[in-house]
Amino acid sequence: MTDKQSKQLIVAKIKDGVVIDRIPPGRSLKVLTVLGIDETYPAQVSLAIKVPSQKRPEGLKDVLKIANKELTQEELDKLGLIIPGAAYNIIQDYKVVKKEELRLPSRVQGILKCQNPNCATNFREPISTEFSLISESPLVLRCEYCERFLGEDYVSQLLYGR
Amino acid sequence: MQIRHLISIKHLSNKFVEKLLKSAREMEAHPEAFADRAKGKILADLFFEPSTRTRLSFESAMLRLGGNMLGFSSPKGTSVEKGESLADTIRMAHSYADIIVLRHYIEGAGRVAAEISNVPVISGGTGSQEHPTQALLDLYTIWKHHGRFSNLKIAIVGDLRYGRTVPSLSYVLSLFPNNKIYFCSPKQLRVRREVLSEIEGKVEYEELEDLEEVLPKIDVAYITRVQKERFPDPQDYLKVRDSYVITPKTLGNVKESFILLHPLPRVGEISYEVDKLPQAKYFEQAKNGVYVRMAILDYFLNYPWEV
Repeated sequence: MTDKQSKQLIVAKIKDGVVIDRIPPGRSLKVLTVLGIDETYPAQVSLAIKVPSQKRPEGLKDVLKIANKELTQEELDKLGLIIPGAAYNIIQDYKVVKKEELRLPSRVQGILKCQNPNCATNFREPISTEFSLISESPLVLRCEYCERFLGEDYVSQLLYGR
Repeated sequence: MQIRHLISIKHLSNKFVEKLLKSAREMEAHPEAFADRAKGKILADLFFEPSTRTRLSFESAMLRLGGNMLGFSSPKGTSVEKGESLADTIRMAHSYADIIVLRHYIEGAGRVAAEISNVPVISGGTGSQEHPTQALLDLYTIWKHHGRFSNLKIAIVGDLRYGRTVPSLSYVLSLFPNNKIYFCSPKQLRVRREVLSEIEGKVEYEELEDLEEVLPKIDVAYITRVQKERFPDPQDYLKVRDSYVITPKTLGNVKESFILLHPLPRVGEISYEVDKLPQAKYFEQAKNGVYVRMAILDYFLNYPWEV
């Protein structure tokens, strides 16, 4: 059986929704956590973990197909933070109508909380958080209010709780 | 180009700083010529944290420019005590005044105020983040004595992690060429990586613990207070504190043009015997705050020049 046939068997096509491909191997469960998809999600979710990949440096990837789902900009920003380099496809009537690579956003607004308890964004003020990208690898973000850095560990903890 | 607010040195260019300090020098030389620059204008000084020099020198500067002020020196007795947000306090202040000076314990408070305010906001220090007007008066004092903004060797000494004057002074020195900063502190009080990342590639620097090693080769030593509460073990504090106390003996081997600065208040870092030495410039530095703040107020009230 070829890789292509095996993939088709494991992850069936969806009619409408999103396919997130080339996810770093093993990280698709975290993607589900970030998107808030659990057993209560009303439509089909297919998941393939560590299937062969020619495009990922590890030679393996995860693939996630979520029926009847559209991703918001906020969700795309979150995914850009945890699985940069993965591909995001919009599926309509079994066809790929849009394909994009997920990238680390240069600016992250509203979705992360600043680690510094003395930062203005952690007080009752009419503002939302804003971070700029300082470094991609290792991931470092800077709070645009208090200017403190957030590292990868803290960002992961914020996004999926560990 | 005009600058709307002064909340970080990072928003300033070297040309702006130079023009501002030249304007401060004019004000020091001929204060009478500027006595009406703020006539009919009101400064709101909103001090959420204690301050002696910053608040009084801003008030003195405003009075010397012919203006008036209102405000508070502590949030006690204001609606802030009832839980009013900074944003709402700023909305009130900008309808009562033409310019706001804000000191706050919260980091990022300057940016919040600048986002809300219709009138210029000047930071009088926010948390351990920055104290931009202090850095400007520090550089003014250095310029007065050394006659230049560049080719300076400066040791910044003490609590470099939490002291808010340290980032601002480092940023302002990094605007000019060929300066070198010696960051001299105990290991636990080293400069934050955020600050180092900002000046990386813009100014040469070195981190060290022993001040005496660099004293003979520097032009300026800038001493800051090491606070006892930063040390979990009091023994560590006592050990460190004594290694950064400046006495006449410490200064035995310095260059002739060397000057000693401190943003004040000092609590034992510089012995009283040093005050009489020609190198001691910290009280003059505090006085210079008035002229530099006059120039700042004049700029943001009148925009008398452009860069």
